[in-house]
Amino acid sequence: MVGNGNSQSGAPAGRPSSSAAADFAARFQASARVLWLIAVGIVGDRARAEDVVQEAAIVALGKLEQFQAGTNFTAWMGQIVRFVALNHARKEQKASLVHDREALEQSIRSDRSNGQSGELRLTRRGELPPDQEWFDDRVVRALKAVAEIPRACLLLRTVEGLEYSEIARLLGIPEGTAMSHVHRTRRMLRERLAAMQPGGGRAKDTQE
Amino acid sequence: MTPQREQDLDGLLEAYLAGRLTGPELTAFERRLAGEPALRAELEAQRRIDAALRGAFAAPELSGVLARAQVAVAAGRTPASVGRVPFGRRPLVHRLLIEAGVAAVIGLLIGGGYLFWQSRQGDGPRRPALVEQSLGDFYAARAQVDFAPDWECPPDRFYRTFDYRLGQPLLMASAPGVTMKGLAYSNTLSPHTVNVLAKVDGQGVIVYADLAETARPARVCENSGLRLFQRRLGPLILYELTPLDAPRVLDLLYIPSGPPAGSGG
Repeated sequence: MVGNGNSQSGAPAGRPSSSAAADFAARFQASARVLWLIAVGIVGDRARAEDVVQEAAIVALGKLEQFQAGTNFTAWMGQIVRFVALNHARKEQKASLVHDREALEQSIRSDRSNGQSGELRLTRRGELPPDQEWFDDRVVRALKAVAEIPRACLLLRTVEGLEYSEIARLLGIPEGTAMSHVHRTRRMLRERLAAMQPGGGRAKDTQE
Repeated sequence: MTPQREQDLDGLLEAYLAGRLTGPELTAFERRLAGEPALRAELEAQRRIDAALRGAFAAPELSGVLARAQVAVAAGRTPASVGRVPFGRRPLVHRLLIEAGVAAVIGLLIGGGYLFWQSRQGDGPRRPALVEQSLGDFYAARAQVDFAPDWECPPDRFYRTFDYRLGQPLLMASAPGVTMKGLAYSNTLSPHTVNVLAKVDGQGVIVYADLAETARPARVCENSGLRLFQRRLGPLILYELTPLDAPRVLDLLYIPSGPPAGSGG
């Protein structure tokens, strides 16, 4: 167990005992992927997500005595990650939202003007054009226009395959809200990516 | 479409892609798919988006995060003051100890790597001296033998082959109409290209996988009648050469979070 509500003996104030720290480390490693996904969902950037998880770990190490044995460690830690991540996100929210919308619109215009679709356009010599963009990049760019919590819901569901009840617990929202965030975000992404097809149409199937 | 119907449709797409639809539900949904091109397009788009998200947001190695946090706590730093712990602020003794530790780890990695390399010389698929050839030539050669692979691959060997050959383990999801026959090596994008040979609706399809940084440009003859699709997955570049109108194998490949179950690590 990480903590039991009592202060740990034998450790300086504010520092966990070695056994509690070892237990924390084991639990942290088991939850790390989910914690990172919460962070990257909220801050929208892989490197910053690592900073967030690190900062949350420091906060948690200072509050180990608050963790109740028998409760869900990932949920407790996820709450800390969420608060830290939201603090990070708020600092840059205004600028990044404007910037991201502009970036998204720019990318859609650029993709349309380049005539990009899923199939590669080869040059006359049968080589790839140097400015070939990647579908994956377009998905990531489109995701930047999504708000933090819906984005985190989508990633936890799609990448980690968590149940909606678990996502709801981690993010402190109702289960139905987690589900509708995921569905709405998926639909939005499909529409955005369809809009990037030449002519703004849907995928080739619709032309059959 | 009402929000509730949209949610129901998304739930169906998700369940189908996850292989959770069975029995009459599966039959009914596949019947709908066969008759609704727009629904097929939605399904295909969702499959590609999911694959892109899994690739782009695969979690990195995070053990260093905890180690840095523990160092920060031991040093009495508060969260607000902590970023990545700056090297220059450590006392000299700490720095020397860390540098000595890093040097020891590097030495072990080099020594261990050499021993591992030596140990692999008699194991696994040998690296043949492959002749450089175009993607189309390789495809044509494999078509003559009905796209027979050099070896068939259960998931754990598939995983280890990519890990060993390209330094990035991969796995392949299953999908209706797609049969993965196995793997082969070629010198098409570089001397280290790994090929996935598959049959899609009875047609031969080959994926060429290599490191994006070092792969040569892909070339396909204009009159080959084949289509080339590409995808970036982590450090890898993947090309699918197919007689079909759309890629069917590329998005089935994904970076797993660990070895497949039952592989023994």
